[in-house]
Amino acid sequence: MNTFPLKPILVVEDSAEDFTALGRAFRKNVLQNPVLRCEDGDQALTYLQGYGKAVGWPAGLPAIVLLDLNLPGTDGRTVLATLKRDPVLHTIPVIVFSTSSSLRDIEECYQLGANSYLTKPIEYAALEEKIRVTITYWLSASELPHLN
Amino acid sequence: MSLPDERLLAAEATIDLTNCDREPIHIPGAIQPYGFLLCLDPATQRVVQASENTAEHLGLAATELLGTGLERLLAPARVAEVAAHFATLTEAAQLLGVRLDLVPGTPFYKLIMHRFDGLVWLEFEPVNDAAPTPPDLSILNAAMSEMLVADQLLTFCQRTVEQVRTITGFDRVAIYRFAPDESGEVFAEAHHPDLAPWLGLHYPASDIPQQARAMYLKNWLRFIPDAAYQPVRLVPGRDPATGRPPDMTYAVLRSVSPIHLEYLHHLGSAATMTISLIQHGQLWGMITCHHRTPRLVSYELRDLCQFIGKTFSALLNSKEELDQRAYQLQVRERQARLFEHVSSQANFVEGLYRQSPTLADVFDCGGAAICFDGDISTLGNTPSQPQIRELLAWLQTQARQDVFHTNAYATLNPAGLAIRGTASGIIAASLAEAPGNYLLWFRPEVVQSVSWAGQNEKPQHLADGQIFLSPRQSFEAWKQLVENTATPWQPLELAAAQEIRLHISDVRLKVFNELHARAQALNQLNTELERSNDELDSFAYVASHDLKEPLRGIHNYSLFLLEDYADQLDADGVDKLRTLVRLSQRMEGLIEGLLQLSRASRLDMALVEVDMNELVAEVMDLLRPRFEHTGTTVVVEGPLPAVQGDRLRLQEIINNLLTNAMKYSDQLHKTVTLGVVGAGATVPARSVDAVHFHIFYVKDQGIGIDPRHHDNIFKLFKRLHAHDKYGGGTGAGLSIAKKMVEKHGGSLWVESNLNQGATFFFSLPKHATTP
Repeated sequence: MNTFPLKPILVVEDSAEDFTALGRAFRKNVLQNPVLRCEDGDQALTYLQGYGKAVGWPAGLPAIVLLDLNLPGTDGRTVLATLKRDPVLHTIPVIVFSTSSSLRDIEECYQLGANSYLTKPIEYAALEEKIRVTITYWLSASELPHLN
Repeated sequence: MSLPDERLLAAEATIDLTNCDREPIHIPGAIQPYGFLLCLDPATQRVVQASENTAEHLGLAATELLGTGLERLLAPARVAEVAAHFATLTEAAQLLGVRLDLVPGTPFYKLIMHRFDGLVWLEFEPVNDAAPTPPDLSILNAAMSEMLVADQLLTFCQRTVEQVRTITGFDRVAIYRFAPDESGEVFAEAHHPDLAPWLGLHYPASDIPQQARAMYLKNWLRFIPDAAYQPVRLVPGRDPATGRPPDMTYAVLRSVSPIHLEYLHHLGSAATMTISLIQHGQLWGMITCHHRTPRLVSYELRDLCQFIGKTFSALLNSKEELDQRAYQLQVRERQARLFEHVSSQANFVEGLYRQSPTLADVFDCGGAAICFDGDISTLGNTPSQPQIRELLAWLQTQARQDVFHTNAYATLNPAGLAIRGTASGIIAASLAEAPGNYLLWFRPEVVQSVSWAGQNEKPQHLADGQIFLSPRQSFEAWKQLVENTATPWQPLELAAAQEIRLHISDVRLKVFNELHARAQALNQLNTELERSNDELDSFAYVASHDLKEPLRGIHNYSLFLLEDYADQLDADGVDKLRTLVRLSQRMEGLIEGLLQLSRASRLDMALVEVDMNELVAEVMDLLRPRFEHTGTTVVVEGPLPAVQGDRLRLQEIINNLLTNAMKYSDQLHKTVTLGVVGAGATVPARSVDAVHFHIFYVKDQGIGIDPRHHDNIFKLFKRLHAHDKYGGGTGAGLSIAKKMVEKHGGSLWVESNLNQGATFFFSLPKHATTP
């Protein structure tokens, strides 16, 4: 069975443009880890709850999840709540990545167990900076749980 | 109409207060002495009974006349003439003038004949001239005219007594009117100037015993020329045929009750004449004539007075109807005016008592009260408010009636004794389903509203303890009967109360319906407004989020174009792409402003005590780099008060105002002052209550604002300058700040003139509960 040399990071993002910008920022920051993308909440849950076996991707769970809130179908809050209730999956760091700067959304996500909350800046430069900090913090500075 | 025999007392029985109603006044067995009486057997035309005073009048003892006929007194031709009447004789009297040929001195007498109780009654009254005096028609004519034209009952009665006094010459002529309870009132009077008036005096029903009333219905006129007379007995006392005293109901000479003579003595009356006034077969009243000295009135004149009495009785109905109609007209007219008041007043309840005529003026009553929704408004003489509340409570324990009425409240509820002086009579018109809403009318106890004849006389007693036979003593007993009783309500008054009740109910229903409809409309509007507010808020929130996403794409892709394809674009292409990036940034700013504004009004406030000194210091720390950059000095004129507020929002307000003050200035070195207006200080052009509000100000020396734009600056996205002037900005800041201040219950406004700096004021309530 194929495995990734480095643990992948999962991006749950319905907007192709946002994902493009995100990919650009990853490249600019020379991200080594593979990037997986789910376009909606159901896809993300299918993948994660099958521990990676369901969609033909190499087995294994992602190091971190970058989760948009406003998703078609099952939205980001439900994905977050489901992950954080799961006996295995709840240890995976989930970084909410949302347009909303509303205090209510931020508060709600932390209540559900989000590990971090980033607002999507309109300025690309700001996005690039946020991605740099995030990669550095979660993938270099932090020790992550061993799930597999 | 005679009382049943078994109820009659024996002629010898002692008459006192307890049995005076049973005194057999129609069979006294005696006459007054001013004439003499012969009772004849109709078949034999022989004398069976004679009055004892024939001796005085004729020189013949009564016993001498028994068994004889008229031929003992009259010439045979005259006897036949008189006897000719006997066949057709009834209880209606016939009059003849006779000369007693066979009596010494041949005196003239008036012979008054009638037939009753199995006897022919021949009553002889002495006169100077045997020929009957013809009635004086001109006097009668004048009297009738006066009576006919009277347009009110009272004038009618007044003219009648005046005419009777003129005709008869009595010292006093009065009309005595009976109430339904048979008590009497002197209703009209004409009297000699030396006499004290009796007008308005009331007399108890027992003053005229039942059997007397019964007799007065048959016998229209009673006459006592000398009240000090000694009664003259009949010989024999009993009719030999029946074995009892003959019935003297129709006898003019009938001797009256000793109680009545005592009564007249009490009144100071030496001679009286009373004429019955009869309506619908009931004794309506009497014309009573009194004289201080004995007075003999001729039979013809008495006959004329009787005629006046009968005419009066005949006219009575029409006169009473006139009065009733006039009263009805007055009630209707006042009722109509009352309804006008009710309709013209915004509050219909006020229409009932603010203007004349009030509720109490519509018909005769002592006072009235309007009890509505717990409030009581009184008019005229009424019980006190607590007493009215007790009455209302009692009314609610009674079976529900639209219009309840009584003229003796205390007999229904003993608690009514306390208010009998104002409210023995009550009409209560219930106004609505709501309990306690009533219109009330009151009438006082009668005994308090009238004068009583002989009220102050004390009962007198005989030495042996037997009660002295004065009718006056019946007063106390009678008073017991009428105590706590008001004049009864007339049907037309009850009808008026019912009509007023219906009218008010209609008005109330209308007002209620209008109010109800208005409340419903308002409610619906509120609901709609709330929903549309909610919709607007969520629209702004969702739209902002959803708008941001594509905008971010436009922005990013423009940037990527610039970065990745810069070498393939010429300078113009690059410039256009940069414009695209700048516009997308401004668009983002606008969306963010919209989002914040909707958030400012959407979220609940977290009210805490906030020290404004600390809060302002925090905001200034955040802004310090920009102040330094723009050469701005901020002076805080402290100390500032602590307020109740939402910390984040207050920060936003201060931040916004300080940023504006810093931005809108052309000066190199800028000074901005922040402080609070001291209590008592007046704020220019606006009277804001510095007692209940803290008023903060942020004052700059910048470019100022033309007064015509003072309202505009608070409009969303409204800018007075180009987008790139004065540090740019979306124009949402002041709208958001204003909304946040208003969320706190305060207001935000500006005082400024162009080129003279600007001062922004905002007020915050000192007590957070103040709206």
